[in-house]
Amino acid sequence: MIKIDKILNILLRLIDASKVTISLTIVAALLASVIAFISGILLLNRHKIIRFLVRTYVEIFRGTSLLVQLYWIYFVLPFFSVELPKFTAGVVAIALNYGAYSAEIVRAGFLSVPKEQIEAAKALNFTPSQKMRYIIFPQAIRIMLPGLGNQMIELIKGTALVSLIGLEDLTYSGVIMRTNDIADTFIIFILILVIYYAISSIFASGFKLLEKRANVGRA
Amino acid sequence: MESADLIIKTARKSKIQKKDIKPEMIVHEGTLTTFDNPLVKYINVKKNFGELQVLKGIDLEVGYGEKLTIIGSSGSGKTTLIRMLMTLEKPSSGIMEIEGESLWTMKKNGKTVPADEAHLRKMRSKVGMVFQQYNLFPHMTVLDNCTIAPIKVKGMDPEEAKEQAIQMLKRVKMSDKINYYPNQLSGGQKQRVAIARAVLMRPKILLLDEVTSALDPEMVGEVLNVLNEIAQEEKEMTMIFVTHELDFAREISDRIIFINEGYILEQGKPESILNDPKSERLQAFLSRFKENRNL
Repeated sequence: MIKIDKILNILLRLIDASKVTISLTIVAALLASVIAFISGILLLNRHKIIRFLVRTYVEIFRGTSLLVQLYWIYFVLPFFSVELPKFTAGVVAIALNYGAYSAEIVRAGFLSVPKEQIEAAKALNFTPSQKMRYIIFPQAIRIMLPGLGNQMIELIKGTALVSLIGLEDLTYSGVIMRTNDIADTFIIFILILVIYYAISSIFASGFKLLEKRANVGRA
Repeated sequence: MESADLIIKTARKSKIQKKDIKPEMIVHEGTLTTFDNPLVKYINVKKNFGELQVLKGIDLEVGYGEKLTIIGSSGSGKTTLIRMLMTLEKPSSGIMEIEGESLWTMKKNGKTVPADEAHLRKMRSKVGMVFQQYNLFPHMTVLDNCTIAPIKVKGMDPEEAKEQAIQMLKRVKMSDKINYYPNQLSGGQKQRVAIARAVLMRPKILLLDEVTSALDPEMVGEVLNVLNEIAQEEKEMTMIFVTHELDFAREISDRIIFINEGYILEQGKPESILNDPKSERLQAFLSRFKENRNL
């Protein structure tokens, strides 16, 4: 019999460690969004050279493993005198990786706005920035949100990789606790799953709310 | 763009791209075609899409308050003609003027240079457009569709903009639907909102591009009725219609111009153009319409 207070003790320690996972998630997601929006818009730039540069970034970070990227940033960059703390290295690697994936979603979202909408905005004499803010963006974000929501959940799960550079996140503390008492393995990893699922659910329902808002007026 | 691509492909296939000689423009008796002070002026305006020349040399003046209708078969360039005035297409050559000021060029340090965005915005403020496909903003209510541009572009007080919008929506008989979204409306209702939205910007020139062509037949009437009323009431507003509704054109136009193969071939007062066409092309065009009506 596993004692209740033991389970509770494990749970509390895991919840404590999940603070790292959650803050890593939030900071990386924010940075990834900024990167995704900038890259997504630049992928539509009329200058070929700009499109090429951004396309190169997207392809490299989509086409290689997040874990290897993380190792590069944490283990290789110090050889070039760039030393980042574990948390920062995690944030940078995750943001660059998911930013590259999401750039495509952002690009597709902007492309999905019919050109007739842009013509209507022009006929009403909006300035270019008003056109973006009031007409293009609200329609594009509606198309982007389901994809971005998916990426968000992927990102939460992807944060587990930072345990491999020794950042004490949810997964890392689970692994450490297991080495203390191998008999607890089952209960530890069940609890880890539940906590990851809970975190994802919270973010997913946030995205559902946003989607609902963006869908106002649509059938 | 799709339809333009299609035209280009067809044109390439049939090799109809030969040297054209500008046909003599037929002007019916008693028609005013030039003005001391024209609101809009086209001087030898041409427009190519790739290899296809859609407009081959348009000379046209439009007066203040004039109600002008452009007719012609599909692909004749009539929509392109007004889209250029809304700055949605740029002419390949020629001069376009609004109130005597060049649309596509501007003076800078005594030199003539291509128009920048600021110049285009200034010129665009004189023009408004209603589209075939309505192009309402789907994420905004009827009321917001009508007030966003007056508030954001003209800097109107939101309450004032709302009041004017409600008045205008009454005129197009849509005031009971101000909180609806476009997706909840029929085609005819959407188009009436689009008309209200365009008129609310108080443009000097309102362009109407085949505004009933996308509608189910039973909705054409309600839109034409509303347009008829607005054309009667807005005496000062110049309106340029591109339409296939010839009865409507007869009723509201001061002048009809017939475009054929990229040129203005014939123009005159509605009765004269529709009852007494001079060119064979216009005769053929009109008889096609009469046949269709008898079907």
